[in-house]
Amino acid sequence: MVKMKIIGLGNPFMGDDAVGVLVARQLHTYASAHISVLEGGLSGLSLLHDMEGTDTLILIDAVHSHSKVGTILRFTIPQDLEEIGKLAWGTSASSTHAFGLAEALTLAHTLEALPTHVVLFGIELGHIQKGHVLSPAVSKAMTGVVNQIRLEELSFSHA
Amino acid sequence: MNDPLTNPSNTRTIKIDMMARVEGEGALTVTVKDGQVQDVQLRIFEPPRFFEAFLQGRHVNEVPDIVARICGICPVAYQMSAVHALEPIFGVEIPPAIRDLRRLLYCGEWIESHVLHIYMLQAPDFLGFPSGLEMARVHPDLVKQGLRLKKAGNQLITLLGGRSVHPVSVKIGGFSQVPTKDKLRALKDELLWARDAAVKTLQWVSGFEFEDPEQDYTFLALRGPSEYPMNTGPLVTNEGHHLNVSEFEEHFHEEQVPYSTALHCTFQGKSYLTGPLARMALNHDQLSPFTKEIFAETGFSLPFKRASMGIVARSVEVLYAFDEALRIIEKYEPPPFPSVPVIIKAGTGVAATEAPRGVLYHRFQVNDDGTIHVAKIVPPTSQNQRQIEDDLRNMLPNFLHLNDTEAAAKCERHIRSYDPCISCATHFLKFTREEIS
Repeated sequence: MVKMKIIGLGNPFMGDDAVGVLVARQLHTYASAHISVLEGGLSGLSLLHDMEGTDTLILIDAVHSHSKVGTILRFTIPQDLEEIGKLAWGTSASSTHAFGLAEALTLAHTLEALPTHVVLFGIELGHIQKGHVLSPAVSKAMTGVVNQIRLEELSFSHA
Repeated sequence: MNDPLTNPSNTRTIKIDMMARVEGEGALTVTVKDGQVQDVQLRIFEPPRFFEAFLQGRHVNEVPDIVARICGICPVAYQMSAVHALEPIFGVEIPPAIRDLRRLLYCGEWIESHVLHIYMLQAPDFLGFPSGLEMARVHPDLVKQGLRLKKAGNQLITLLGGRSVHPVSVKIGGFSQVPTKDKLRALKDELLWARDAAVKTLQWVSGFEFEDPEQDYTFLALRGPSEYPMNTGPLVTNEGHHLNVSEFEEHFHEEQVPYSTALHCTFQGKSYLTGPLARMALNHDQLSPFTKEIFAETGFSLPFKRASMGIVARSVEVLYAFDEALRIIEKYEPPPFPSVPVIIKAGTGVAATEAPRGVLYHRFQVNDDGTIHVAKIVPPTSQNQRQIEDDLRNMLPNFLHLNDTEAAAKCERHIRSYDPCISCATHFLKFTREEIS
């Protein structure tokens, strides 16, 4: 059992959809006996296995919510489940042939399998062209999210 | 909107559009004139097309990690087809112990993919739930059992692949590392539980009602000399064809259709089916004795001629995969080296392996410096797409008296029963209809 798991979702080869994975990579040095940092993948349902064994779960994924590119959205689960279900996530049901992020979290809630604290960061994406290049605004947002997650960790560790 | 029954001379276009989303779209368009189905177009967004171009110029050593990102459900399949296509170019011979570990890894993927489809996608159709989520509210224990089964497959992939969703330790020549005997043995108890649960799963789905029409499929699968196919074997059909994988592109032709990013693949100009129904039809004699025994108790005869019976075929293969995983773990001795040396050189290589959804073909042309010159990938869904359209063309006359919502639900259910890569997305289809008089 770790105190906190940080899972970055997305596809590192599909433009801005990489951002969740890249946030996780930036936080890898941050992993400790109490904090585990994972690169999630394209399938939301695997998240159900990955989210086991922690009190606090922090998720990062690209999102398409018609906001300005690079906008950082923060959601608390399960309170915001309905709202996240309306957005198109990088890890979405239709883009990955899989159970999407919103469906996986809803299922975990239904089965009472959610960790005590779950926070989801969505970063508004610009392009999903194949390749490694992030939109400048998304790249900037990535740094913002990394900093916010450090603050989250402090607040939970002192809770 | 005109009623097609009272106004049969109208042309009716039934469109099922998917929810707007990030990565392209898929949709079904059906055109009906004078009560006859004129055209059926299934539009699918297909990531391999993007990746074929992306792979050009990348080094072969990057290929396993890149192709693992093509599909969230079957990363192992893409890795297996890729390394098996590349290794012959470099004269690499894979030792038996590494070959067994690759088979074990593939078992994990079949389990994960099939269990997801059985429990979360197709079972809700038989039990009358609009989605797996709704089913979980009423039958939480059932869904928990499915998730535990899926997790057992996930554990095999985690152990052999390093990371569960996108295995990164598969490489040309073997693995970047291999597990100890103890690590594999530690999974045994859970796999024994899972094999029992897989028996119950097969018994459960065998009691469902299968009502779609029977058809005479042309089945295509690998068939090796001695084992149920995953990584090896020439291609065979139920019509007596026997083809080497190197002949694939002579007999299977992909054509671009204007309404889809997916290419349609035909065999000698006709539609055909690959995947669990085909594997069962062509290789059932190679299932393990235990799997055969449990399957015999269901009373079904082969081949399955209904798409809806894919859930039975997948359940048989889940049982087999657990049985096979236990067999491999039981006799496992770690190889002296996790991989064999690879000397990169120019050349062309092909391979097909059995992804959960069927035959997955890869061809790579490699330059002297180890970069990819050409990558060609033919995924199972593009091979089955034309069969799905043919089915819908045949079935739709029976649905025309239904209203849009009901007709769409029938189409979605049938499409989903084939487990195409869009099967989850078909839970989100939006139905609209246009009338042209």
